[in-house]
Amino acid sequence: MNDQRTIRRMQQQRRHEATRSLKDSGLSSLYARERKAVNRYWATFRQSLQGYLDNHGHTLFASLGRMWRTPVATTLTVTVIAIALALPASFYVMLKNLHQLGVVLEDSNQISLFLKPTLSDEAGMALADRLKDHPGVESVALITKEGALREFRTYSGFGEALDVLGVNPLPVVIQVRPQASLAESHEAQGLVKELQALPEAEYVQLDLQWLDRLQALLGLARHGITMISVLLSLAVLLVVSNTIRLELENRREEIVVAKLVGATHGYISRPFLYCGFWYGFIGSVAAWLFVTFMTLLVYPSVQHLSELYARELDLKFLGFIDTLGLILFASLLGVLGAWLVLMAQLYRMNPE
Amino acid sequence: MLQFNRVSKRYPDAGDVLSDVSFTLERGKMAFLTGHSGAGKSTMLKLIALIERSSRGQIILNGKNLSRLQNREIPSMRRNLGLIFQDYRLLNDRTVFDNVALPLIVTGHAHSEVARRVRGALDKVGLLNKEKRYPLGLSGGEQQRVGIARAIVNKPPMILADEPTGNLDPDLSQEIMRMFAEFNSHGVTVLIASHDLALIEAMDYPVLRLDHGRLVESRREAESPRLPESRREAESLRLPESP
Repeated sequence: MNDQRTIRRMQQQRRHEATRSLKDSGLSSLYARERKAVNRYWATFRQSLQGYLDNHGHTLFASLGRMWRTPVATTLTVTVIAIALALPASFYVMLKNLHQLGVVLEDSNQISLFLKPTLSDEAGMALADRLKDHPGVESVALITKEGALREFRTYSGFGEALDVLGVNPLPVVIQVRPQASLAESHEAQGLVKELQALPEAEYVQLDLQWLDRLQALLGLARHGITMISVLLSLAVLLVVSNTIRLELENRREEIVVAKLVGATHGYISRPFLYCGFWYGFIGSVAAWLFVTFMTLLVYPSVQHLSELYARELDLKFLGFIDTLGLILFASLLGVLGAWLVLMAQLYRMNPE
Repeated sequence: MLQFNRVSKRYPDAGDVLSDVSFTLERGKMAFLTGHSGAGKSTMLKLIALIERSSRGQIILNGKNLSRLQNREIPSMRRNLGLIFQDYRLLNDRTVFDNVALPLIVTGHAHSEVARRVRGALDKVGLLNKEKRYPLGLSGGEQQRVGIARAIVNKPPMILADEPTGNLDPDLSQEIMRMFAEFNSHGVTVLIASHDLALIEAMDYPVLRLDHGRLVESRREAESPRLPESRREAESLRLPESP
């Protein structure tokens, strides 16, 4: 009984396997056929894709090669574009540096406490020690009569006048840096009043007003630069457009023949669009070089300035993101300039 | 293949250049288009190649009505035509190879295939050894053969030739015409505009004659020994009954 059941089960299983393998083989041949069709499809697709990429790659570098073959014209155009881009870019860098300078100066909104000229360095030191413990004061620095004289001689140019005088007329100065919480000018005013009330004080100076003015000026400059940038971008657009227009005119015959053998507008436009791209791209890279070079030129003066303020002012260059933005924007402008001309001109160039 | 239905073409300053032209050219046939200069031969070919649009009537090419065709469909229609011109229209700053390759390049063929097919076309016109030369360094007959190679390189079903032998001497002209006949024997539809009557008479093909913009007759210029076939060719080129 058991044996029979086992045999039957084995037979069923074998039959099942047989039909399954039969199905499998049928399916697999079907799959093979389908796979072949898919492969064929892929082959033609790959081939046309290859052709498309061949064309794009070839056109990209052919348009560069064409520019290379007319070096004078290309250099002129690229230089004009570079200058038009370098102008707002260098203003931008200047603004960035001025802004930084403003921040540094604001940070150093110290109060200069000029002591009565009769007071000696020692009296000044004693006062400075007292002020150090004041809750509104961050730190104090003492400039002795001698120190002030040295500084005056170095930077004012009136050193010889002092020699005539014979005595040192300069007072002791205590530079008081208020707490950060007093950074706002109206709060600092309280400290100023307090210092003015001191019997030793001759004159107290807190000059924040000019910083406010600087900020306002920088804001105005920023607006001005935005407007200049818009105008000069327009100039870049027109320069590229005009260059491409001349190029189109020079290649009219070629365009007509290409149209006769069935070239689409897209195909004909491509080298000119790439050409516009190259103008924008190369122009912006050249603009970056200009700006960087100019920034390097002012480097010594900035160092001098940072010595004057006894502070590390690091010169800001056109940053990575800014540079990337400039190149992208200019390349896009180039393509746009070429496209505008193509839209206007290409439809008019027909075989006769 | 090609059908003209009461087609007229009017230019604003010259009046009707073609008026009421009707004929049919069947697939795989070859025909000449003749007439005095200014009769409208070139205009007719321009209408087929969509260089000009007809003012009235319809032109049907490959089952498409050309007067209804959008501008953006023109390139794909032209790819089915091999155009040959009297002045060759070659690009003189490019080599023979590059000139012939142009139709393949604009349709986006891969480089390997372009080279193979360009050499095939140059071989057919017998210029395989001159692929690196520039057009201006070639004789007139050779330049026209380059033009022909360019017209056949993407294997169009139809060839249109506008005075292809206009600038060539009789021997060269005959050679060029023989070339067209050979393409036709491979199944290509050929329409040749020419005023070289002697040359046309020497060949055994149907002729369309234009006179002041009107199609005046369709006739056989010469009787040929292959009469039955010739008759069929004559029938393949039908003119409507004159009213």
